[in-house]
Amino acid sequence: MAVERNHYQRIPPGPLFGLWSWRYLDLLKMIRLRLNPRIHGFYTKFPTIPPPGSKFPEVDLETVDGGRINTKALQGRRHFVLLTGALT
Amino acid sequence: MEELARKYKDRGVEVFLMYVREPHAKERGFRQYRKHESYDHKMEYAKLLVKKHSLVIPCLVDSLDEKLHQILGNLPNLVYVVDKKGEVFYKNTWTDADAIDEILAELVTAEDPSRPVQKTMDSRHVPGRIPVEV
Repeated sequence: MAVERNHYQRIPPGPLFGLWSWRYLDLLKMIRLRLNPRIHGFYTKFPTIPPPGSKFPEVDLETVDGGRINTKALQGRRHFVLLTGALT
Repeated sequence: MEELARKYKDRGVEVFLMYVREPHAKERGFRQYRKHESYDHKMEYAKLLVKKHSLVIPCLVDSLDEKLHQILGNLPNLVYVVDKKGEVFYKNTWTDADAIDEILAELVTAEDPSRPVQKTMDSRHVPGRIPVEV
């Protein structure tokens, strides 16, 4: 339901056969992705992903301001949204 | 996401960002960023991320071996909405604020129908984004 509303799906095919930027045209990277068995190995790990309705693993991590957050403490009290992100 | 965190704070929703691996380190456009060499290095980058985007939501830092991130799918822009029972209510491989707003509105309204929440986020009108009708 919500997956259909993804931003990338709203973008119509444009120039460069829908790639939108020449930055995506990295041939060497594409070959590396195709040939590297370690990268194929990553995808075999996908069955571990918790699907909707299943128990979410406990998160107990340090925050940048020196604190610590454990999601077990939120159980029964609050919902939470966990995003992942990076600089690049 | 900061806006959503503010909107749903008093309805019992917490928003966390988990800083994970750098997916495009040393690639075109990101030459100045290296892969994490130690946990301190990772923490340093996480602090930089918080500073760069002036983040208010808590930023968690995963371990150097990315143990949790591997379990969750190892993608750089994952999102999980977890309910009070500790079960996954919604997950997506891409962070889409519109969709998350809709899901959270549904979740908190179902919990307390006397205080319904409407979806307000509409990123189609964000300046700079190409306005496209589905």
